[in-house]
Amino acid sequence: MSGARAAAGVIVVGLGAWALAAVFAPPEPAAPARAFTSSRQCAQCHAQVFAEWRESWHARSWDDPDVRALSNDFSNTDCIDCHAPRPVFETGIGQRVLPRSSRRSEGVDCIACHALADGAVAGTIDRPSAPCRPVAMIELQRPEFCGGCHDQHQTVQEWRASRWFEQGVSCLDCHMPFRAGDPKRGRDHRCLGGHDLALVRSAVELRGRRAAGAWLIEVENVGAGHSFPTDERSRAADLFWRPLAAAGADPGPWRHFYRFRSPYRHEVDVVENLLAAHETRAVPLDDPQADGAIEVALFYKLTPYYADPERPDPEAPVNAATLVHRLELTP
Amino acid sequence: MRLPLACAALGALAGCGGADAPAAFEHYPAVERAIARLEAEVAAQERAEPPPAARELEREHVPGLVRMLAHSSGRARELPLEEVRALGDAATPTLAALAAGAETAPEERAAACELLGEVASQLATSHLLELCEKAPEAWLRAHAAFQLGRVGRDHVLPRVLRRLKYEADQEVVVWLASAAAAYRNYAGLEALWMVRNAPRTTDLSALAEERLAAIAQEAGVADPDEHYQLWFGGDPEGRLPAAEPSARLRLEAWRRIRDLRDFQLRGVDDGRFVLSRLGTWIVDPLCEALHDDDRYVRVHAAQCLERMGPRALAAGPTLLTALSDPTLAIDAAAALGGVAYPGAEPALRELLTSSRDHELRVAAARALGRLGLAVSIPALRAVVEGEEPLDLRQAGATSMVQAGAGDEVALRLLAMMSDPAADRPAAEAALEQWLSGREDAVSRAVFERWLALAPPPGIIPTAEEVEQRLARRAELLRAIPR
Repeated sequence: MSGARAAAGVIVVGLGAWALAAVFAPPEPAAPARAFTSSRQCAQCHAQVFAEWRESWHARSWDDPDVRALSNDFSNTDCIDCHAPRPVFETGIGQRVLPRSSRRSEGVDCIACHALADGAVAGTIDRPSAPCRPVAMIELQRPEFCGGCHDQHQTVQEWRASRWFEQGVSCLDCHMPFRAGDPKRGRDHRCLGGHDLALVRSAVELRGRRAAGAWLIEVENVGAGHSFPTDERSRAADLFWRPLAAAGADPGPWRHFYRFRSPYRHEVDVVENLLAAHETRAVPLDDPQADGAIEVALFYKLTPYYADPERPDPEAPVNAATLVHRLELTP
Repeated sequence: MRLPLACAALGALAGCGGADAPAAFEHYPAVERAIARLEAEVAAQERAEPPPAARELEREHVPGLVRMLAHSSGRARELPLEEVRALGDAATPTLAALAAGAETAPEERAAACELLGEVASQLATSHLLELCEKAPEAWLRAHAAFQLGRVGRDHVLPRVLRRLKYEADQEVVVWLASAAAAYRNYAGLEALWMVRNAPRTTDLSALAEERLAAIAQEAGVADPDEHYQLWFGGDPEGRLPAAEPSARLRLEAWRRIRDLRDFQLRGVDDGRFVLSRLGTWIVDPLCEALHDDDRYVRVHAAQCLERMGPRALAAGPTLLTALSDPTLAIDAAAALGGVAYPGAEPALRELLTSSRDHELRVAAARALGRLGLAVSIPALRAVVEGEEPLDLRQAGATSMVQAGAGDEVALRLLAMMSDPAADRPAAEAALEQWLSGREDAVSRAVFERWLALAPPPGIIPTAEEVEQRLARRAELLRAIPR
């Protein structure tokens, strides 16, 4: 009994000493302020995050050949605002981003999202002694944080108008999920989006049924937290059909019958018809030749153009269209 | 009572720091003040010139005039033109409806458009602008653009220039550029030259050439090439006729400046495009906008000046003082390079060597390159050869090429062209500029082969093709003896 009391006494004294030390010990010494001039500096400690980011389209936003060509090698300086932005915490959460002069080749980089004005960085923990002096900032998780660039085409507004907003599902849940679903492992910095086929496939469903003696094709936005497609005006999604061929027979060319698109600013003849979150679009297949068994396919395009606009061939490599869903329909 | 005293004391102490300390770059509601002033001025003008009293017209009167004009020629055309001038805005709604109506015969729509140009009122001008911007038929947009050059209202310029940005039809482009030129704005010359040199049809090339010659002649310049150089070079000797912007045009310009605050880049991009293409009179309003309370207005005003290039040289002194504003210094430095203000060289060099702001140092390095002065070379060399971050060394090396010292840095740029941490396309562009300036036979031959490796116009290379091109160009450069 006395042994147990002694042990308890030791524990109480120990806990007390620990508590006193916690209260009165000098604070963790702050690391000296460090100027960050390149996101490569982050790789020294955050190799996995850096490697994921290097794979991402954020990292390619300056030197991707499509961007270089479409911006005329950034002689169209309007493009720099979002493709090499100043730190979001500097311009302000929910504010429009501004272009930067330095490290442009790193595109949308670690510094653009994490750098704070005082030289520390925004993160998920407070650790003043670490070289980058991270400060926990909940703002990193808010859709407004991404909105400086990604709301330029109303994507955040589209999300806000959706049920995903009401349910508390936001940008990071789909585009920066926890690695292996485990919050302890941190978030995936590849920031997957329209370039990721699995994510695009999960965004929409394709169905077909007979209605009034003709095929009615339905596309439903089941998984995107915003319109489909969204954000980039260059994106498009096209519906094609062709007669269902017997095994081994030539099915013939695909025939285009519907397009989801938001027009470029110069396109006075294109009507915006993106598929809103949760929306189902029923598209009648009016072609009288589409009477029997048919194939229907939904293709996704990162650039809206086809080499031959009169007879678009989604399977021609030059057109760089990605098959999202394909259906076989028989009456 | 104590607080103002304390502030005054602190101010005095701050003043003791040195009589040469630059005054703070002041911020104030520049946009609101200018718009209020100009709205009052425009309203006063409108009160002084009331529109003619409305007239009751028979239902078929205006359509009859339209048909008459559409189906007549020579002096017979004068009658409907005179009549519609007398009618003024009484005819405008019907004319606008006929011009826009897809069910009207094309020749009558064209005639209605011409009659709107003849009325030339504020209302008729608005309808012409709508047609020019939104008509699905390119031929009708071309007619509207032509008429906009005739209405004698220079406030159409911002919308004409904006349409020039988006217009894809070359004939419309020709008439938009001509309309702008009618108000002594020659920003459309660039587009006219493009149509002349790469026309969709030979007729269009001839039309563009004829317009280039006519516009140059109207501006008092014999050679269209020289006219182009004068406009884009800033016309330092003042040879081009000066535009006297109306109050309404100045008001429109300030409204574009106000739009630079918008969140959506669509309007901001349009604003930057239009403002940087207005005449040199816009330099003063943009300099005033550098003081606006809104950071976006300040930054984008500086960008507009930068994009104006030497045409905004007069902004140099103001931009120089803006270097003291921490919210504007980076953009002011870039703009000083863009407008090529030589008086900024010492200040930019000082920033490059002494500033602790990396972003500002890179901006200063780039600006020094755009000034292209030999006096900057030692400071740039020190950066390039020092232990500086890669992007700053690359900006310095690129600027040394622009300042005529490319031979010193070509090897460094060559290394950067294959360094994944560097801005490889920028290194490639700098080397191309360096190579284009070399006169020896080997370099000339290499340059020809270098250019031959460029992707064909309209073809976007794949990432692999870009890699191959960079590797082959690097190989070519290694053949140049040093």
